[in-house]
Amino acid sequence: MLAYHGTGLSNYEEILKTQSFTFKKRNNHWLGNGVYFFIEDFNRAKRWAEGNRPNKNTVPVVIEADFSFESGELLDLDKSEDLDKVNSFARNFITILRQKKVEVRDIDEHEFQCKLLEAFIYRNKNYRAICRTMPSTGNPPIGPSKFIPVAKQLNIVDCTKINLSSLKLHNWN
Amino acid sequence: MIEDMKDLIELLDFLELDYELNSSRPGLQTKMGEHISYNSLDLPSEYFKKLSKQAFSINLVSKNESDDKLDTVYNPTFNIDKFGKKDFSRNYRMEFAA
Repeated sequence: MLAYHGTGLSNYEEILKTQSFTFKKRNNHWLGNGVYFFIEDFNRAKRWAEGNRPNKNTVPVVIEADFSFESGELLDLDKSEDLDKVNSFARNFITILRQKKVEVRDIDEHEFQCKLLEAFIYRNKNYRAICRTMPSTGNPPIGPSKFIPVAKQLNIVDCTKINLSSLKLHNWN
Repeated sequence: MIEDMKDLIELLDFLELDYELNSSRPGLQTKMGEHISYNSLDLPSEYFKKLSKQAFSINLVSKNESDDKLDTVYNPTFNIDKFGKKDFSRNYRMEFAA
């Protein structure tokens, strides 16, 4: 699948220089920590790069990558089967936390949900990426078609899955 | 699945959580001092459903542009009721976070 990552030119140059894709750990990345791409949607990545690139002193660019996953490598949260697996893990985790009377401090529900996904991936190391489609309000919520715009995001948890030699740069500046 | 205490502690440490076992206040304690019990937590599928209905809660982007820059606030628990709706629609647009 083709996927697009919006960022700044200096970041792209750093990736080539260091030959590595890195990411900043955050407690509230909703698909967990990793490198985020828009699946089959160049325009959303472009928009992201224009508005949200980390370094605003460099021009926005989009990095195109082509991914293929072996069976069991991609956790697809649009599929009920994969969602059931995460639910089952969460049910067990929450039950144990309750039984052991664990107090977790300085965390809200959203951060906890992000941690749940990270915990699932940690315990199921075959997964190297997570994807999920969500409505997006970056465009008008409902256009003439009456369809709600959506964006399918891909979080590459294992950066070795990104083939650096095949990255393609889109620079429209 | 988490089998025993060793498993649990390994996982909690990996997640870099600030936690206490056998606490008199089990559950989540937010930075704001709110207590969330384990019984009230949604499973991931329910939580995603909730997020889907609150797409605007993902990312709040100020429309005030200068030098092609946008000020972005990541706000996963954003509540539109806290904003004046007229001011909100004039000054912000909502986007999906990455």
